[in-house]
Amino acid sequence: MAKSNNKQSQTPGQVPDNGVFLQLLSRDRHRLFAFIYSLVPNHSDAEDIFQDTSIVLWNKFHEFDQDRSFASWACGIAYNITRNFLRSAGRNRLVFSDSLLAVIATERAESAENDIERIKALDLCIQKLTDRERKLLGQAYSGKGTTKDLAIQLNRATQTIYNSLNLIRRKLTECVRNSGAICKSEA
Amino acid sequence: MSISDNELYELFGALTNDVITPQQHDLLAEALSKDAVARELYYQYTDVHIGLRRIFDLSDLLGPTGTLDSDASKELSPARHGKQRRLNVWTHFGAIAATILGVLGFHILVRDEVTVPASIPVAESTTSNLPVSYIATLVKSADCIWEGEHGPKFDGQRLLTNELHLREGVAEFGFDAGVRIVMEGPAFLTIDSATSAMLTNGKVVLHGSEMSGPFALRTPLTTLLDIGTEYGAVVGPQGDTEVYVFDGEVSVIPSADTDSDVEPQQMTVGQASRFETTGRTSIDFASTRFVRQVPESSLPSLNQKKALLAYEGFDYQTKRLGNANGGLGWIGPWRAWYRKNEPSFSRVRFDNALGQGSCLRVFGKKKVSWRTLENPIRLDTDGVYYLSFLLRKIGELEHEKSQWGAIELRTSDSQNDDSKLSIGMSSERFLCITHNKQQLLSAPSMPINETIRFVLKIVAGQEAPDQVMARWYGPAESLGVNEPYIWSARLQPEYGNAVFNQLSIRVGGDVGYLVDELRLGTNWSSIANGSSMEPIKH
Repeated sequence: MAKSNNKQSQTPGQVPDNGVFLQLLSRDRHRLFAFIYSLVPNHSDAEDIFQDTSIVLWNKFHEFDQDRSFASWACGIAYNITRNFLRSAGRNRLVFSDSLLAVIATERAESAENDIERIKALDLCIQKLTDRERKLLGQAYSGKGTTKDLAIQLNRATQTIYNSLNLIRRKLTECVRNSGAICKSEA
Repeated sequence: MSISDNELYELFGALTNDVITPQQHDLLAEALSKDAVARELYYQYTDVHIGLRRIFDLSDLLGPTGTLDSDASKELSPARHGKQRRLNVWTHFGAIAATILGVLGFHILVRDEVTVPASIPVAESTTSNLPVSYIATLVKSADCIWEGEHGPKFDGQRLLTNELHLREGVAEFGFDAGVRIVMEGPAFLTIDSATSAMLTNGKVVLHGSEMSGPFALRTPLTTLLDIGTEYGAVVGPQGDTEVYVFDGEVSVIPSADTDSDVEPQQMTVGQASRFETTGRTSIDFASTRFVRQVPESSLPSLNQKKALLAYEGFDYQTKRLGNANGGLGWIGPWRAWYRKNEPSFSRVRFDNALGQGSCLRVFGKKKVSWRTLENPIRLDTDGVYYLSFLLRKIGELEHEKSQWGAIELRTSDSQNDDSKLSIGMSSERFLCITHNKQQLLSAPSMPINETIRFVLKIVAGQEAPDQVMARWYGPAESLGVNEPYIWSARLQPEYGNAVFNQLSIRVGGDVGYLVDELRLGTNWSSIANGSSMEPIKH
């Protein structure tokens, strides 16, 4: 096993530097969450995996070579935790195959997407939506109730709400793509 | 196989809406496996979906009725809503991260406890066989009035995840991760896990444990992480949070946007800050605002005498058990069996070799001395019991030989061994507690020819599971004013309805034990007061 050559690395058993760890995790956590979500596209599951990953990252932080990318290191650990999670999650769940997960993990871990730029681009794209579309997004994504609840509240069919949201997300995806905020993966 | 963008978006939509069928999932997986362009589109789509959740997580824009304000919804653009939006983005993601940071260090093992549903009330658990994990203890309270039906009922009570609404008084909670929180009413605190809690309103003082991982105290605007420190936190009606650091350091994660320049910060001893939606300001360090320890109740030891259910100092002139009818809280004298129902006093006697008070000396194979409790220990009702006694092992046999000594709580039905609860020293000199089918040995081994104090705590629940824990104290240790935060051994909670009305002292093997200062009470003070190591004078 290769040893870290980082002089700032901590010895096993040493209490990690809380401040440094928090800074790194808070800086990269959206990217880490996006990585996990692309492997497990279910918000609740992704949050569970993110939490487990945060714990392991903390426990292993003394092994982290701070000359390297925290995000890449974190994604590697998240990938292993995700696979363990999916193994233990049971057979009722629809999951991607191991080979597809490996491909996604590799591509997403190498991604150089600028999280802030992407959010700014998304923000601009949201402003290009109609008031009605923005309102629907707000109602659907505010975290209060299910889409079915929303459909009842709006006196519309659930499928209609789904279709509307799909259309809006597609518009936004294409808008963000065209904005140039999304970079291609690094080689 | 080639799949059109339209089809891909349809599959992405079904996936995101959580309505995807197995067939659609297979189709999507195949497309993603074979087509890099499809994967690129998938990444972009999921990023948009996650981004929307970040941007629109605007619970504070909801009106009091919980419906979305139409005017507010028109202004959901992040550019226009800046600070207020960022607040919730951080609350959502930052709290998750920070909460998990509280589940660190040694206590990674308690993660399962986090999974206990928050809705399980302490006293209203069903009698199912589902495993239950208690995570904290109401250590001490003074003049407390609790709101709601799920408030704690007595000091020493074990707690699951729970919402605690304290209207008046002061209460101290000991978390199993080692942290203590002193809560001053009026306050609203939600226990999330053994390493995290949410303070929605009111004042608390947190006493960290330097050997445990950080405890995450969440407030509406911040998450506070400590390592072995002491600080006070006040949350106002608008969620504004004041933090006063009495000792050590506190990591404060403001609920601000990651996109902003606000970074996690460390507060050190003597510092005080107020966190509001508009930012952080330094404030005067007013430590006197806080009640840092629970005061003695203004209803003093009203029941202090009643709290001591039984006492036996074994201070007898006689050497015959049948004449030993002293102490407090017993029915009848001590009795002894060599074999079942066969009296034999010769090897169980009171020992006063030094002439300065006596103790019980039990020597020989399977000696049993027992006595009936006037006030039994009831596992079928809510309550807490403490049993303490001194035990000294005299000499030691060869390693393989049985040589244990224990005190057992039993029912009148001596045939029913399953319902017994015992605590003592195993043949290997480990602390040993047994209850029903559970047995737990706890290292390190105890010394011989030294007086050891054993303390057993029983938290009984009428509808909640019972829990038993034990600790032993060496000759140089004292019991302390308050019950310990750390126990040597703790059995898994389990449901039971046994009523223990007999206490017996048992020895296995040809070895001698001295027993003294036996106390049974319903609070810590009742067993701790006057509990020095003095009485055994052998």
